Amino acid sequence: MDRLKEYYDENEDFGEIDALLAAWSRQEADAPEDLHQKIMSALPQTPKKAKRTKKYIPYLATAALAAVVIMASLSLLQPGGEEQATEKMRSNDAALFNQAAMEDTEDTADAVSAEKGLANSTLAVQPANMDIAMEDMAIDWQKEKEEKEEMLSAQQELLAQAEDKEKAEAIIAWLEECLSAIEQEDSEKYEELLKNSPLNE
Amino acid sequence: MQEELLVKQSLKGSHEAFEELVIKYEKSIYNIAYHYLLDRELALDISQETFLQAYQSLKALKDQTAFGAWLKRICRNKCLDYLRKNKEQNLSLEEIMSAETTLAKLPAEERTPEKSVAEKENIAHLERLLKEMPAEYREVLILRAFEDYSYEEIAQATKSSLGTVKSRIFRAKKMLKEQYERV
Repeated sequence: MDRLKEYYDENEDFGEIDALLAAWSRQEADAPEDLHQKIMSALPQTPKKAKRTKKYIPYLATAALAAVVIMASLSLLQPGGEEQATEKMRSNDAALFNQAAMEDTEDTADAVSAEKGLANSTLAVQPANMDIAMEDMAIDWQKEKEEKEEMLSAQQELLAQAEDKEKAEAIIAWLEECLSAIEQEDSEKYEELLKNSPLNE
Repeated sequence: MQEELLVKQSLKGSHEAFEELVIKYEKSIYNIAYHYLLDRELALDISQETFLQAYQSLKALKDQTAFGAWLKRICRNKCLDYLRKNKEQNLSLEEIMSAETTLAKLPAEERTPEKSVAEKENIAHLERLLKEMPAEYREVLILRAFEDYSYEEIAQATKSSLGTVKSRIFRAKKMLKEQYERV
């Protein structure tokens, strides 16, 4: 027997209730005036506004340097781009040194040590410097994620123009692995990836 | 800016792009939450949680053109979770149909004999009745009346059989009718 018959009475008239429910469902709820502010306040603050710590300077400088290398390497891959790329690297490198020194004028020791780290480095990321930086601090995964995503996005956008597609794709694959390690917050794997960066080649 | 582009920018870490998405959808999300929960504070909490979850799991959104539908689904699921976790009682049919249900315990001033003065007043009254209704009945009524779900869709959403859905809707409407006519 159909169990519905136990309860369902076809003669029941729900006209008024149905009309009320329909009117109710059409009615827009009056949202509070501060709805937008309250929703935005529940979201995490954008990490870009967060103050950088002194300990982070050497690593940030290295990460920025890596981004410069990517951009420069892509320029190199374009016909006639070598001279332009060398100039770009030179100017970016100088700017980077200045930025590292300016980050914390109160504590010159930190800035000097950052400059030393950079001065010892070539244009490629140096694993030794990376070790020092990684040991020195807890990894800011959010920051790393944003930086690697930015690098990946830039690399992907410029892939079509690259002559050495194999290398460009290797960099993309490496960045994706980095992002996967970041996602899992696997510092060991992440450090290993940074050491074996295709940017060092 | 196109919604898909805003999603892409948000994925790249643009707070401003995500704020644009919030502006676009905040009122409709609040409206959904309010209809489910019938409480301003709760609706605000659920709206905040919805956008927070969307912000944190934006990467999981496969179809970037379907952000709005995805956001509404998050909100709906949060509301249903809330209703289920906060069931005050699980009444039997006899209890539900008895005059001793919570519906009958509405304050006397809310049971004014003045009927159909204005639609707004009637709706406010309906909301009070819905609010006092057991969660499983309120849930199916909301899905049917507000979301315009078919019985099959409600069965899927509530993980119930089609028969259960039909009988719950019937009982819920009967309860509403009785209480509405009583006042």
